[in-house]
Amino acid sequence: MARGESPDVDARVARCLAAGDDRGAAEAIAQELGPALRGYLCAVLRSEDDAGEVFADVCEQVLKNVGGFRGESTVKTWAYRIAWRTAMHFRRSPGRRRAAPLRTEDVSGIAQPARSATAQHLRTDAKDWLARIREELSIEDQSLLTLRVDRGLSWNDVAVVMGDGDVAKTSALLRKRFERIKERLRAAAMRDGLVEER
Amino acid sequence: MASSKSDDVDSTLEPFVRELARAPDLELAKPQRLAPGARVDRYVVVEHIGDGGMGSVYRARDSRLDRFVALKRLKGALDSERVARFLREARALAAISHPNVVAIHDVGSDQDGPFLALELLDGETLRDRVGRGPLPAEEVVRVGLGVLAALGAVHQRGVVHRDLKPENLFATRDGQIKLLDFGLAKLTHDRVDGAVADRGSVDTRTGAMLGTCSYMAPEQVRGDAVDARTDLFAFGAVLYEMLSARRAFDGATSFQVWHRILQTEPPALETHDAVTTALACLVERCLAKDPADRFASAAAAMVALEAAARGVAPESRRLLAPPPVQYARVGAVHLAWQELGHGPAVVVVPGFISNIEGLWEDDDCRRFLTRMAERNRVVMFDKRGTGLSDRVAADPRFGLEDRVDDVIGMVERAGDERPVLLGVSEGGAIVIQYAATYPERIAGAVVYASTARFGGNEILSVLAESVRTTWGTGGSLRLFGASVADDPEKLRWWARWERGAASPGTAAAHLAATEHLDVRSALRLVRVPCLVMHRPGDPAVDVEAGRIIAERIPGARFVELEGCDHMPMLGDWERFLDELHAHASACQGSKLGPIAHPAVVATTDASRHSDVAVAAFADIPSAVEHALAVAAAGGRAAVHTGAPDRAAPIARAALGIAKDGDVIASGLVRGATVERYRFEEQGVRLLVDGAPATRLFSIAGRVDAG
Repeated sequence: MARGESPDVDARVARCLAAGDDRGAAEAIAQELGPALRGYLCAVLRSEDDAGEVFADVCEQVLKNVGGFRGESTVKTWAYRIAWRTAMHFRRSPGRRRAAPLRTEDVSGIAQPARSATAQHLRTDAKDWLARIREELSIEDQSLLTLRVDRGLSWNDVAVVMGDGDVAKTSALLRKRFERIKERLRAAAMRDGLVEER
Repeated sequence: MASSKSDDVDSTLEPFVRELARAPDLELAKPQRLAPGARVDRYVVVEHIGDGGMGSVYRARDSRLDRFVALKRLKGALDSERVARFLREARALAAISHPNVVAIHDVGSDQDGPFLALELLDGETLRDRVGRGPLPAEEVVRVGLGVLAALGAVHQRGVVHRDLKPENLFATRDGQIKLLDFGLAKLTHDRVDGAVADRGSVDTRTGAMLGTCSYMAPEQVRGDAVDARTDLFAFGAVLYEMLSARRAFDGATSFQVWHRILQTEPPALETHDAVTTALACLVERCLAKDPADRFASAAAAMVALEAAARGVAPESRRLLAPPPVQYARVGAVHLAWQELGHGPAVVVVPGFISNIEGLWEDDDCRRFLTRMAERNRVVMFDKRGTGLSDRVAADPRFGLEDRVDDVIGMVERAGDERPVLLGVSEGGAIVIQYAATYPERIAGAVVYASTARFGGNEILSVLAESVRTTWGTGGSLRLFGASVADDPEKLRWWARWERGAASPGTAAAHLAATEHLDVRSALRLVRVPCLVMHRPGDPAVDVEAGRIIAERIPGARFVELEGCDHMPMLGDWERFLDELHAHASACQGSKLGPIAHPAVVATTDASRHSDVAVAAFADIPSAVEHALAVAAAGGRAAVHTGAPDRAAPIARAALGIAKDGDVIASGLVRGATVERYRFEEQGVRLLVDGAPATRLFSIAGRVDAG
């Protein structure tokens, strides 16, 4: 069973919805998936405070929309989809000030030769290196990594969460994106001496 | 990790990828309730009575003083430093003793963190009350005054509440309003200066998740500095909700709400009478996006709220949008003009060139016009040949006559109320000439930065040189706005203003015409109340010229303002506007003068409304008395003054809004008889095509009849 997944949540939500109890369904989702959703938001937003705020909005969205949930995906996937969209909305909101904006596409900084000046330092401290690499990840790549690797979602579920439209196409695109992340990561790790060339 | 997709990642990279992907679960704060009988310091919990953003609240008994209190246990992990700081600041706040602020009896901490012992209140929150529907206006005023009194006390101690909302306002059974949790929202967050700290009251537990960010001021949303005016924004949002039972800013998510707070105005409040209209204006002022446009303090808002209760709306501090430019035909020439504001009418007669549209491009200038319009109905126009008016050639031979014709046309645009003329620079000389010629048409005159004779003035040659060499680049600003002449932005604006006002050749021609202006012989003939103002450092027209005007006009008052700017809207203009408004108000209250004005009365009797009779009278009071006699007999009447052939159609048309027993009077009639009769305003109507709009009043009775 993947982290943050409860075998009961789908059944609890279904029971509540059958009884017309939207609030009960929302509470079940928050109780069963809340900590995992909040952790995911913290990873993609890189701020526990921001994650807390966005989580409040995710809860609002869950409460407002759970009545329309018809089981097209698991509750978990549905909830992560809301969390992802809300996080993206937050990133673009005018009131958000604290975290520095993330680059959405350009992660090439991971492998930029210009960074090699700090390679010696990074080599001595893998944690610092990882922290630096994490900072270079776009919000999309962080979400992709977390959902796929840490949360163990299938490619189709990741596509449902992050995509809009054709799941099969999105899934294929996300796979390619995942490969590119790994290639850049490998290049950076080799450049900084953390892994040997194959 | 319980489950990851290791097949996606090769073994050498796997630890790094896993680490990058890691997102540990974050536990949610769970309320831990104290059971009845639990002891917190000297307090024994009786029952749980609620949860809030800060923690749970219990009814508890103070075992030492044997009284019941509301015990609030704060939630969240607080390190010792934060606890110490919290206690220090909470104790300082506990010193606030005010009937509209909930009393803090005690502040302390034990092994589970800090707690507060508060006055135990009996009643309901404003949220509960609003949940049942809008409050009547008088209750809104009563609650609002209580809230403002509380905010005033809190602000006096340098504390900004930052979380004012209906949930934090408590209406006790004996009718008092109490502010809860003041200042504590700030104290319970580490980063009190950040936007997020201000958003911290959103409870993320289910059941209490719907947002509470609807009351945040724009500066809070942006994370800018907050002050007392931030609370006044929230106060406006609370008032709005009391009046309408709906939130001023709402949305499906916090983001939508924040967006609306930053970008949009709330839906207009419904108004039913003068009080609700005034309350809506007050709410609008509180909800201004720019703190500078709100009330400066809770005390100022309180004064406005008390006035609103009497149906008096507060002044708006928002900058006016430019009103539409209209064209008036004066003889063969079209003059561009604008009308703005409310209050005693003032017609602005410009200087040697003008550009009314260009004035609105500068924020300071716009602020000046906004403030002017808050207190006066202002008609301003472009001099013929300049700005947006017809670009007719300036003719030195007819300069004075043409300009007086312009003023005749514009005084008509002021409606049937006698306006005050404000002449600026060369316009001052025109006003003097007009006031000496047509005293019965105006209530008074204001002459600013002017001289009775422009010819021979050395400054004209300086200005002529500026027109020749720098026109269109803002070069004349050194003469007209010396205090801002070094401001590059002002210079750019003025350069645009110059170009919009006139081409170099046109400006030179008008300047040449100005040289011929000499109204010295008219000074002693001015018989309307006259105010003369001048700034001592004005490089364009020496202050001495203003003094001479004031000395020679009988009864004129001279006011020497501070500063060096020739244009009234530049530099410090507060006193200029105060003096202008005071003079205009005094003039409007004055009688028409010694001349008896003819008047006409249109009447119908009670049974035959289709038959309208029109009678002419030699003076206005006789006409009004006749009208009142008709009304007393059950008929209708309307009174207007002027030559019978011009006044009769207006009186006939005004009769259309009269009911049986009513007398309708025009603004001019009211102006002439305001000391004899009581009037009630009926609005402004366009009664006859081609004639100016007419302000109408009903006569409510005689002054001596009470």
